[in-house]
Amino acid sequence: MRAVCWKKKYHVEVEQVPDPEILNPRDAIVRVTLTAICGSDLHLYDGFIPTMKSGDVLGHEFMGEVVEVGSEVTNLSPGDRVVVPFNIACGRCFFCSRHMWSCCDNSNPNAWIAEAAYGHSPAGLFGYSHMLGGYAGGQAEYVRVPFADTGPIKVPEGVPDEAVLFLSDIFPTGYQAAENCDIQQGDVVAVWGCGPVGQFAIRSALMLGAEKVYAIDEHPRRLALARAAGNGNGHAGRVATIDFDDEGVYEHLMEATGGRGPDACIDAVGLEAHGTTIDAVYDRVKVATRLATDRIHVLRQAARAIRKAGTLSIPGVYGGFADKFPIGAIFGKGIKIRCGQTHVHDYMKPLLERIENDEIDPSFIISHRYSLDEAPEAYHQFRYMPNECTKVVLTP
Amino acid sequence: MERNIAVPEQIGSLLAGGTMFAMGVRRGGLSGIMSIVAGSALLAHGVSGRSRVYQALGVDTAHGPGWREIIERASHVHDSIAVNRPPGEVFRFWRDVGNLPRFMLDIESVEDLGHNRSRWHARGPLGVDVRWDAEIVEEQADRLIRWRTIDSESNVEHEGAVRFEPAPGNRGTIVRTDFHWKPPGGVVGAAAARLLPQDPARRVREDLRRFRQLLEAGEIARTGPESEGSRRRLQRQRDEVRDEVEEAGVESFPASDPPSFAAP
Repeated sequence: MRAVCWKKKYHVEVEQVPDPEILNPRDAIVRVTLTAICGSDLHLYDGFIPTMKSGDVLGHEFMGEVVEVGSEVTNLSPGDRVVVPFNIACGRCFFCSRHMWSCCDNSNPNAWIAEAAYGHSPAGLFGYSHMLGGYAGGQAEYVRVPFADTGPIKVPEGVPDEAVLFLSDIFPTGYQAAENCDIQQGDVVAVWGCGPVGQFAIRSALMLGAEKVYAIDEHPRRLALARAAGNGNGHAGRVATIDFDDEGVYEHLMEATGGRGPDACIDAVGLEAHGTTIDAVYDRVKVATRLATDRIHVLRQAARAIRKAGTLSIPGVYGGFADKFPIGAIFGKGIKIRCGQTHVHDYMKPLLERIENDEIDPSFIISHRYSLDEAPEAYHQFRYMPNECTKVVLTP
Repeated sequence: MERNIAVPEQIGSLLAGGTMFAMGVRRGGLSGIMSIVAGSALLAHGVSGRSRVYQALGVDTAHGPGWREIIERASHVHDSIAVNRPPGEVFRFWRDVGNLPRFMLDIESVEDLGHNRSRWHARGPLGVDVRWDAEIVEEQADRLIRWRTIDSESNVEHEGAVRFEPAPGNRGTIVRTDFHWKPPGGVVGAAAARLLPQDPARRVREDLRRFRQLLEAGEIARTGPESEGSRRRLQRQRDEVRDEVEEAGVESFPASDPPSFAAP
């Protein structure tokens, strides 16, 4: 089959790879009908995530048609249309049984690598480094889906692929980020990063009752898309934007909240944060010289702006170590931090209902549509044209 | 002051100190005197087995791990893992010795011979076949299984125990394993085993992880050839090219007449 293979930093190619087969009784094979490039795939593209090998098949946002199931998969049959969560979870371990799906104990065949790095291994992921399982991803014609009796959700006919594809990752990820804020009626929420996850976090915060959302980015189109979040759903005027190139984020947020600060802050940027302030430049130097691995400019800004005893929610991906972590502000202001990979399994059903009830159409985020064979161009667009390119989908 | 220098180091110090002393006497002059002073210090180090410098630095070579301890460390592996199933179920799974090869990667087969005895076939280091018979010497239902080799055609002596404890709050079972090996070749064999690609401690850890996967998820997480993506295809191409070259080599270049590109 054809698949998008990671070759090296800044380089992906569509290549022929072996077709997947059922290996375990709980497996299914899915023929991919639509897949997407995630912002976190750009961390792979940029070489920020360790343990990638040349030739690895990328992609963790995909949906398609079940073509084959293992002997123990009774809930799915060939022909079913499914969306697959990006994290692989066994459904029966200590963590899965407590709905902490992204912490599954049993889905990472290379758990020892993550254990060496983190002390414990998180769940395996599709197409996201050998440390997280080494599973082939979904930017391909076919995918082997382990624990298919636990993860995939069937979607009804009549709902287009583009409307439900993002149940695999970015919609639940943005939603969990907002839910982690424990939003109370009247809360002010600030969201750093108006990429796909940020956009869904903004809309989810509104759904969960935020009074006002401040969206922070530098790209005019992404900021415009954020402002549009309030249109046509009774949330008009509830989203304001801050261009961090033009003004001080802290000063703006203090002015807006009378100095109290946002009740919750969401870092939807992650380890490749950039900026023009001194600490951002310092991070770049540190990472370039391998004295640190993650740039945490956004975390520092959020920790400074957030109100006392507020909640800092982190859906943005971090992978290693950071320097000048603002532990003083976090401690001194009694900030709660909520973070981690999304427990996608819990969100697919309720969010599918919201889509079916016309509360949201996630396809708003798509700006570019390509065929799978055009993946190298698609990655290039998403990476280097962030203003125009908000989300790319690929059709095999 | 207590002894803080190990015997081998004492002997080494005496030999080195004596040599320097003798050289200093023969050479004479300023450098000779310096050699005599340094040699004397080493001799004192060797004779007394006590060093104030070591004491000040917190160094103690006399009380480090002895041979016994080094062997013990190399041939004993302890590990534990929490399994999200009740102790009875976990115990029964392990007690059914036919299950063991399903998660112990080095074990090819275990045959239940009845009367608490079993016949083991393992793939040893470097692909060597290893076979032995084992006997369960102690068993407490849902709590403990202890076994040891009774007859080994491969000279491997092995003892093992696995304990099953209810995890705090009845959150499953904590499985604790102790394995002892007496590999052929004694100390050298044990030390060599540590240097092999499959470090026993690592191997046991991975075995226990697979054990948990089987009990909880019912299967072992793994990836297929498509996960190697285009690497596999490239490898195959390289193999094909190599085969072609080798075939061509055999046919067209007799050993006495190497091809020109092989010349330096």
